[in-house]
Amino acid sequence: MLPIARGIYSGLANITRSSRGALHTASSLRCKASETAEEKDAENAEGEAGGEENQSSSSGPDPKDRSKVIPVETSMRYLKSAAYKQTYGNDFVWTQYRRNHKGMYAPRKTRKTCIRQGRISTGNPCPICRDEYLVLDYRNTELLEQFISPHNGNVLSYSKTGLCQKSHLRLTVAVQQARDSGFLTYDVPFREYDYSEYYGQEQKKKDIN
Amino acid sequence: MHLVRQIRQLNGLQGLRHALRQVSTAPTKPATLKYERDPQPLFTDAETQKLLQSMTQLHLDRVFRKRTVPDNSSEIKFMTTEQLELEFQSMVEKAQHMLQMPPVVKIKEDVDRIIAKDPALKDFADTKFVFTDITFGRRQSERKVVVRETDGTLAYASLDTTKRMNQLYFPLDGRQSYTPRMFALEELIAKCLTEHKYEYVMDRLLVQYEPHEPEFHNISARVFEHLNESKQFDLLRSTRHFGPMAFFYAWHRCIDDLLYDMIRRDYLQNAVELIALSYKIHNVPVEYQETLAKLDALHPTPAQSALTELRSGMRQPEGQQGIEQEIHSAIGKTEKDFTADEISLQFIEQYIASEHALKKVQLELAVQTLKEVNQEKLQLFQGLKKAHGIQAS
Amino acid sequence: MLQRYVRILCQARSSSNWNYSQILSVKQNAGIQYLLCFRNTSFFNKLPAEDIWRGVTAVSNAGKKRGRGKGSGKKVAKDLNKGQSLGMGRNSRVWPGLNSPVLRGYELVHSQKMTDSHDKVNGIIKLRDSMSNFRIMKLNPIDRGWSGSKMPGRSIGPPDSVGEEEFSSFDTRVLENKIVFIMKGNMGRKRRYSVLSVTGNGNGLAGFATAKAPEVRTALRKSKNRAGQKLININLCENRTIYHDFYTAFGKTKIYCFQKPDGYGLICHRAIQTICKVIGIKDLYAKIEGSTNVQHIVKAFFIGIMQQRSYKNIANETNLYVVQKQKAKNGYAEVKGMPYLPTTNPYSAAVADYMHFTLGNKIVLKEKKIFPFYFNSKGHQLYQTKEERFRNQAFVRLHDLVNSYF
Repeated sequence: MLPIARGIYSGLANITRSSRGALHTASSLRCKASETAEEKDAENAEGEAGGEENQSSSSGPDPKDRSKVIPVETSMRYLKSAAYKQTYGNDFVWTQYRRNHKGMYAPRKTRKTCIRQGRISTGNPCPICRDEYLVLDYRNTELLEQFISPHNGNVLSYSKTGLCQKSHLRLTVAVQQARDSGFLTYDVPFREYDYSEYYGQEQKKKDIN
Repeated sequence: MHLVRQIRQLNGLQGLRHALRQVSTAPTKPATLKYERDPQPLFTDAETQKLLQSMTQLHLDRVFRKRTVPDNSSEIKFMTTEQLELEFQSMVEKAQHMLQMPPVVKIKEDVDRIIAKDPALKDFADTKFVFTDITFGRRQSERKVVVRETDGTLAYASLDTTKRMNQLYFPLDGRQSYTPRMFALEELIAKCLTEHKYEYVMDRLLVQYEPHEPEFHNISARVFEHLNESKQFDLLRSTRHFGPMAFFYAWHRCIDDLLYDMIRRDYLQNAVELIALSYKIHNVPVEYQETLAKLDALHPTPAQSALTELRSGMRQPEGQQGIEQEIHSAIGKTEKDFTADEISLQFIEQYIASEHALKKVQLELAVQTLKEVNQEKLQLFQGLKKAHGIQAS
Repeated sequence: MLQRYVRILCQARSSSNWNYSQILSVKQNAGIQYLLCFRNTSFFNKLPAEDIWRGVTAVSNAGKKRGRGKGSGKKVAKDLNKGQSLGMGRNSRVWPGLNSPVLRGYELVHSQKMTDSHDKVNGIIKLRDSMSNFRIMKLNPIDRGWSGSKMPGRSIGPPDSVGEEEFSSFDTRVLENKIVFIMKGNMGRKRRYSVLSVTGNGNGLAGFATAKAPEVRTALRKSKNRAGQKLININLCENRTIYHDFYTAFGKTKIYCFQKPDGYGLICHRAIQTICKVIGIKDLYAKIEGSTNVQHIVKAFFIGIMQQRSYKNIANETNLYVVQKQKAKNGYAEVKGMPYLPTTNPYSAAVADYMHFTLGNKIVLKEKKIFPFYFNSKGHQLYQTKEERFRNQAFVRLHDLVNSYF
């Protein structure tokens, strides 16, 4: 690499580094948010939450650990929080994600799963797996809406969003459930009525009269 | 006739799962208002239909709103004036088709109709046999579905089975083979209603249920009742559900909220039509035909107004008429409208004074405000006309 | 005598990093002592550090001409004085007068051993190590260009402001970055960098320019600023696409561009993609025929986009209404362009095809779909018949999953 170009690269790298810093702070903020959420839960049930707090304070949480189940309500609150806003801005969850792959063309399918045995098993987990507070559930409409095309109403392909196959399946299931339960609306196909099927006999009677 | 045998294992896994779902889901809360008599003859009456269509109105941007489609491409064409005119007409026809009202009929009772009893066939098999006529091009209502029970009885299938078989062989786009969770769980439908997703609920209801099913009556009544409380009637205006809704209110003598909404939005003709419909349904001895005829002469039908709206996109003639048009667009009313308003206000006040109106104070207030606004507009209109030197006709 | 000498040697070794191999060897043999050819000078202490480092880091002039020394693991001169301070070494001591005051209050300071020396030494070594291997900073995937860490496709920020005019909402992207040579009688082969970049505000204002300079950085800056001076206003249809399909060419490069519906994206050559992003076009399909020289693509595309006609102009040219029917709106016909004098001749509308008109009477060759070689073979048909019974398996599985709530 030429020395002149290097200067520019380092400048760019600085920018990216700073943005990464922003991500880091955001993630720490998020931890705080979750802690407050835990505390709120703790108010409801004091006995269990005390242990949880001890755990989080004694040893630094493993960033790759995904064994803890996060309730949907927490996720829904997170999507409205300032921490989420700082991390993702006005973008969708998946817009800033890029897949890593060898060669020019990405493999047709994404990886099978990002999480194995309760831990993230990859360096570049998919947009859903990398943020443990994004929970795919039919009640979490704010998250699901980010993955639905406004033009044809379909779930966006994993080639576009970069979701791993497992997350994508969960997403499709959640979207269908949300639609079936009325959490998400969609354009229902138009039903044409053949009036004679319902009024036919009456009309016949009238004709006779 | 081509008969296909359909074997259903009632004791099989599927049945079990179905049963489980049935147990887990509580039925929705029944609506308080029901059609006691058969509403169909009154609903299909030509005059009622006309009133309902007029009340529905026809806003093209509402009817042709953007929807999700598999291919959202657009096509650009060159057209002459004549072709464009034809295109507009076909569009209005299409819009009217899109506003086709779902039938309002009474609940169909399920009756056992036994064809034959063959005790010799008893215990021939431990499952029922369902025979479905799948002849091409036959109407759903004419399609025969018969069941051979295990005890050898041959009978016409119940409505539920018939619907299921029809859906199996001739699937209706959008209909689920199971009860959608939205309709099965009370809290979900309540949530949809509080979020004002009325059109969505009604659209799904049409697709999922036949108009003669009790669920259809129950849920649609609930939606209309909720609408009457939330007063978001505008959400259904210019959709196919507005007509049945107005009919429902007129039938159950609760038109006052809708009437108030119509007066507030300055849809006076619709208000008159609603009152007339209510008179018609309950056989009130008030002569409304005359007023309606007068109003009809003054007002264009929804289809006509939609056409003029489309044509207004095309070039307008220059000159004095242009100025008049400008005055109209500035005030939003023409001379005809003012006379029509007078007639309709008279009729509405008559209704408010009668014993049929329940929310008299509210309605009177609305009428009063409207009158004042109209007066101001009329003055402005006449002033502008004078200023532009147009002779009062 | 001998003992003393050894002690000095030891001291020298311990006190500083002095390379004692210069003092060649000391033989110790039954009281006889002698020194072997002792030399005090070498290029290490004769030449300045800069010259010594050049021997490792730089390439000779002849080598440079042959293109040597351009690899990624290039060595960099280290500043060995960094982090060191006078009087501090492996065994740090307080030397009054050298690294500490002689008097502290009224007390005389004595030479003393200092603590925590080990960390300091390690720190210095670490610092040197970090200086030695220069690594290209990892790029954020979002900021990557077309290919790896190459310049084309990457953003180089808005053009520099000229006086009061600021280009804050602009973004510049490099389209081409290459080395060009010119031959001159007295200068010989001279190398420069040529950069083609395009700048725009994402809302219909864009410009492009090439610039050459002996250094990449200056070439980038020059082309960026020059592009900022050559802005063109481009009308966007619905703020997202082009007004109509068009054909455009520059040299041997021919481009067919097609207007596309919302959400279609940019399906075209990467150079056109980059230009469109900068202009603010979001939906477009373009097919390039002929040469794909980037400079020609840019020029052809800009020419085409500037020669677009509005719906109104098209209507006036043909004396026909331009009507758009959107499938998303269930075939709602929208009048886009109205002529001053609409023709009454129905034949003209039947003849005039909008696509032919906008493409300049060219017809796009739609190639037949080519099926794979096995498509009509018996084996494939057999496979398809076998597979048919699993055709709904995925849906059924999904249906089961959808209906199990928890």
